[in-house]
Amino acid sequence: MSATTAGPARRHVDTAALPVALVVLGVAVVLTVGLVTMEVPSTANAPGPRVFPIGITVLAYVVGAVLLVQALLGRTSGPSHPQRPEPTHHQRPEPVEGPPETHDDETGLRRAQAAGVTEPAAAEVEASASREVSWPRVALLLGLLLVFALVLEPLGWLLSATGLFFGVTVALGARPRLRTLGIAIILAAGIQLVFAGLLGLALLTGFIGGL
Amino acid sequence: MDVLASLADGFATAFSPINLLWVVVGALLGTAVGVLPGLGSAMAVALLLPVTYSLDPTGAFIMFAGIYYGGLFGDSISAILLNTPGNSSAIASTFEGHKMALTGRAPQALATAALGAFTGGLLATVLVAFLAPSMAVLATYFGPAEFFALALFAFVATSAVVADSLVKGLASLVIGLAVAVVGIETQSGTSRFTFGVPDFLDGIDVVVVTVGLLALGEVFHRASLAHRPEAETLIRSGGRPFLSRGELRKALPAWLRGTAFGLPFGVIPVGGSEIPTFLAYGNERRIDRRSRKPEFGQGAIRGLAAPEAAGNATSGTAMGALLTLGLPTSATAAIMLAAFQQFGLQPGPLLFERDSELAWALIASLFVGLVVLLVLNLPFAPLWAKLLLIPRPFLYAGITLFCVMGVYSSSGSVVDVVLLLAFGLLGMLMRRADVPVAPVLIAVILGPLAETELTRTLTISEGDPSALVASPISIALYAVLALTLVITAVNRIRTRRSIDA
Amino acid sequence: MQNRRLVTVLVFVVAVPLLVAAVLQARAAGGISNARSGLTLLVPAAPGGGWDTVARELQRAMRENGVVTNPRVVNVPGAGGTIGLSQLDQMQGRDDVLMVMGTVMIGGIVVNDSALTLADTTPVAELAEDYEAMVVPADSPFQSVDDVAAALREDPGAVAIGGGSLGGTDHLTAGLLAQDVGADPAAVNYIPFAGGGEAVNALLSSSVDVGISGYVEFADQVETGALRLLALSAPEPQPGIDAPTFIDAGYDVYLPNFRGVVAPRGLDEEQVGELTAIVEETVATPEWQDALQRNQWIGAVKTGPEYQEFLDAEVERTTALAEELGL
Repeated sequence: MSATTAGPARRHVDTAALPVALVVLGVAVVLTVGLVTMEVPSTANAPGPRVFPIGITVLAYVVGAVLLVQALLGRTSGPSHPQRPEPTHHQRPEPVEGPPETHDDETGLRRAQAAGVTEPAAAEVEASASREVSWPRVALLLGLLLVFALVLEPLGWLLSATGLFFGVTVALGARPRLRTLGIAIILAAGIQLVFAGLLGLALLTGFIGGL
Repeated sequence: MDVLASLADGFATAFSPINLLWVVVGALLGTAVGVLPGLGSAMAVALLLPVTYSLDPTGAFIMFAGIYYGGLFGDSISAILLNTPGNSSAIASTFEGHKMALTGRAPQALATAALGAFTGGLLATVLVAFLAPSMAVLATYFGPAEFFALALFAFVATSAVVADSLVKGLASLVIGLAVAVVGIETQSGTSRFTFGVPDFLDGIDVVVVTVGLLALGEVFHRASLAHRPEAETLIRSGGRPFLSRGELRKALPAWLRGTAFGLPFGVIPVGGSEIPTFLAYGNERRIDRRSRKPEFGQGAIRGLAAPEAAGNATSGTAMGALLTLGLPTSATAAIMLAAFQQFGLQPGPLLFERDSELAWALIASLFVGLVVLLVLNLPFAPLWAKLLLIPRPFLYAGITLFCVMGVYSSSGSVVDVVLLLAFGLLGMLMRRADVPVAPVLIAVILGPLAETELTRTLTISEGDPSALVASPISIALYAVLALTLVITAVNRIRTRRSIDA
Repeated sequence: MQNRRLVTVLVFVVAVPLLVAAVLQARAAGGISNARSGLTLLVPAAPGGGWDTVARELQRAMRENGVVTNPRVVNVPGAGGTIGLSQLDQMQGRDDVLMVMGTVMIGGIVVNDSALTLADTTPVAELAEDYEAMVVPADSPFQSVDDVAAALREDPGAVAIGGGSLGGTDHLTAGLLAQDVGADPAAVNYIPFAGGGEAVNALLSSSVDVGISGYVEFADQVETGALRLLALSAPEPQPGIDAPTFIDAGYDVYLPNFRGVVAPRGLDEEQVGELTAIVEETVATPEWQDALQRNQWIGAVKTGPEYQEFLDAEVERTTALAEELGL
């Protein structure tokens, strides 16, 4: 157990790393499903289309598990020093947990490479200290984009893009003003005229095209 | 000297007032399209090329040169200012370049990029003009085994550079690799991880991943911070676009080193444009670590100068490969090949025998394009930097719009738009967790390369693994790879010992 | 306050005309027009490839000669052309769309397990063909087709054949040759590359033993002597090409890499007739003839029932072959 030298050791769950750990594990599961259902034609040659994915899946499980454990134990990894470190920084590199299994040359090599990789970290410009996230806004943005993806075909570019622009400005903190709507129209219409009209890009027209 | 004479002829044809107008127009258009996030140089070329069709061949070529280099520079502008590289060859420029922009040095960053691009492009085009046929020979030494060794080497060299925390770097890498294996495996025809979605059959486009993680990720990030007052502050840049002597002194060797990395890769038809930029960046970072005052992380000029030069050097020699071998090494190159053929230029080994005049006109146009771009963009740098003055909600809403447009228009698939937003969200989560984004991109680009070449090697040798180390080039690459691993391992042990001491 | 109001007004002064213009443009672009005023040429591939070139040459010829007032090219790349195919399927009943396709699509349908096939389209015309060539590096021990045939007969796996993507014309030609000499097509050691260009490189670096692709891809290298041309997959010897056809050399190998256009299903005779007339007019233009020459395509125009027959035969043959190859 190494303690980082940056401040007192935190014991609460590292909520920032948690989602990523879950993503990695999720990826591992999806890959497993895909591997099991993969139909490989008989003419496939060595090493075969399964090999790489298998290696990646294994790596995903291992890394995802390690990350998850780290997050749950609340170890803050990664630097959050505002000032610049000297070259021989006293930041502990992450120890590789678990037995060093080599499942095939790929992961073995990667492990060896990874082992040599961790160097003293340079400070990140964005201080990760403040982890407060405005989830409502993120959700709003996510929702906006999803809606956009869904209405793009029926409504066409012009309307969808105007709505998207307007929505995103609000999600990013601007107050919803009539003027913003106007700017949204200018941008959406402008893009359509220049790219679809002048340059021949295929932008959806939606129902307007059928008017 | 014959070359010089032909080149002079080419210049004579290319250099006319009306042609100068075309190249300026082309450069402006190319930059304008390339800078839009979600679009990039490949799109710029695809969209703007038809504009050249209405001109005569010389005029078309020179305008085309403007569009080409303009697009590349547009990639860099959006990489530096908005952290949204327009092309995968500009990814490496985002690392230090965007940091420079954030610390108020955007004009200097843009100037560094412009000059680096000029240096790389110039040296590459000179090489092409004088040594085109011999360059083609280099490509013939590379077969699948060599490409695999190269891909592996690049993988290790670049991943080692950008990953600080082991586990997080690996997490990022794994995500990238998982994305990379989706699609039909080209060597066997196996459909992998497509789960019945036809849009996945061709795999997940690296553009979607890049734009999603970097550009939309940035937008999500802003959204997540939007409730805090400091999110509203705009970035003011210190005016002059010119670099101080000190900065020049630092940048110049970096430009040259970057060019050295970039030149050979243009002729190598696989993974050509990204690998050298990552390698150049990695090299600069290694040098920086050993120096007395390490600067990386705050916007080190060398970290931007080298990849920029490398990227343009590669583009320059790639053009050479296109002309002398008729071998397109990227999507942009394929479009250019088709365009050249429309003008009656048939790239290939007989190019200079058959269409000598046109070919030299094209090469001369490339030189002109380079110069024009530099002249145009140096003074414009502060103007571009003013982009950052747009209030953030509007700036990022605009970015979002261009991103979805770019992605949708290149694939016509709503699925890609959904993927885009998924990657955007992922990008934000990764940032929050201090997981580096670069390994994802490296994995998406180099992963399929490595796998395809390995499969090819083993297929050709009918399963015999000794084919992997059969040639001097492969052996040399593996040797350097092993050496790099040993050195980094030794360094790490040494560092750990000094911690415990 | 007044300032803000002013800005808003100004914004709308700009926005409204743009909006109107965009709506008009959208109507013009998206509306179902008739083929003569606004034909859409659907290319199921990325810009720069073979089909894309065909479409753009068609577009140019049409526009220059007023055959169609405003022809548009739309790229819908992916999955060997099957994504474009499914896009076309959604346009059924529309008589202002033509999709460029060819031999490669037939193979693509098999490889990508596409639910849709060419039977779900309305054939309009074949436009051109080009021929496959078999080459070896200059220093290869193979001096003639017979050498390659013998090697294939003895040990198919030992001959590494490089060409374009799986299921494409190159792959199929290799399979045909194997079939003809009595070797199992599925045992053919075929190495797909992303295009003729990459295959050329593989040959020049002697990574593969034999290369098969369109003759055009190899022409320059053959002329400079870097590659040796062994045979041509053509119905008869071609002028200016110094190599036997497979048939002349005694092997029943002829698979043209044809390119043609199809329309969505659900069209009546009159609509098909109109589209056919458009194509026939276009291929008669000097621009098209020029295009044929520049791209080294061989004009081979078939329309109506003749094309349908040709297409059916090709689909049957190619699909059977692709399956034999294990795809």
